[in-house]
Amino acid sequence: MYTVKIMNEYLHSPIWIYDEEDWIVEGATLFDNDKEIHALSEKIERLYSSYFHFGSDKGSVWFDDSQEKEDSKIMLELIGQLKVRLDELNDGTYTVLDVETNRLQNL
Amino acid sequence: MISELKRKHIKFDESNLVFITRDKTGQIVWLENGNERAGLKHILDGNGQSSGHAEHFMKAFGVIRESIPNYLKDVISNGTIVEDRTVQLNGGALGYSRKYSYEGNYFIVTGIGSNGFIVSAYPVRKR
Repeated sequence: MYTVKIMNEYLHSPIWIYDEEDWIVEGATLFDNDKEIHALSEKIERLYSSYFHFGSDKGSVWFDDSQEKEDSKIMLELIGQLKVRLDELNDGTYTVLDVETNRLQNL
Repeated sequence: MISELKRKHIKFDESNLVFITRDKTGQIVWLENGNERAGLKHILDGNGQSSGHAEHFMKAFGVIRESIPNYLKDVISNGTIVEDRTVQLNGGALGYSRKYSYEGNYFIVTGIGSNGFIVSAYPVRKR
């Protein structure tokens, strides 16, 4: 059984698929054909990645914590929609582990 | 390469530089110690909500935690780039997601900032 971890990362879908040996599985076909998953994943990825700023006066990289906090309701809504869709598609092949919702709620 | 970054007025933290190299796109990329969001600390230990990827490097390549920076430098310097995705984010900033093939049954996937800063890197099993 796969574990589908919802976790924000720079330039990565919020969906990380781990196999039974805890390997990140590249190109797993679980959601390749689902347009809704793709659309939501892209929105979340782009939103989270937009908080990273490079080569400014604040250094080689800085993360805009204030903006993330300001956007947290938007992000929570998107992740909520993603989880609903994951539940709809779940045929028992995976479990969902959400490491973002609690973190965002506590920003 | 450091002098080239300076010449191009590319901001980086030399005191926290772990390695600097050029990959096969010709771009200079570098790794700094960083923090829980970006850089070596993020790669090794994650962001506090989820563990990092040190264990995955050991499992995939037999590389111990202390050797991950050198190994990563080898992969990025000498690996074949099998995927190179440029993303334009809000405000026009660019980022690069690159997948390197180096050895064994695993790729290394990286997230690189517009200036060449390596934000993240992790092994994934080849299909």
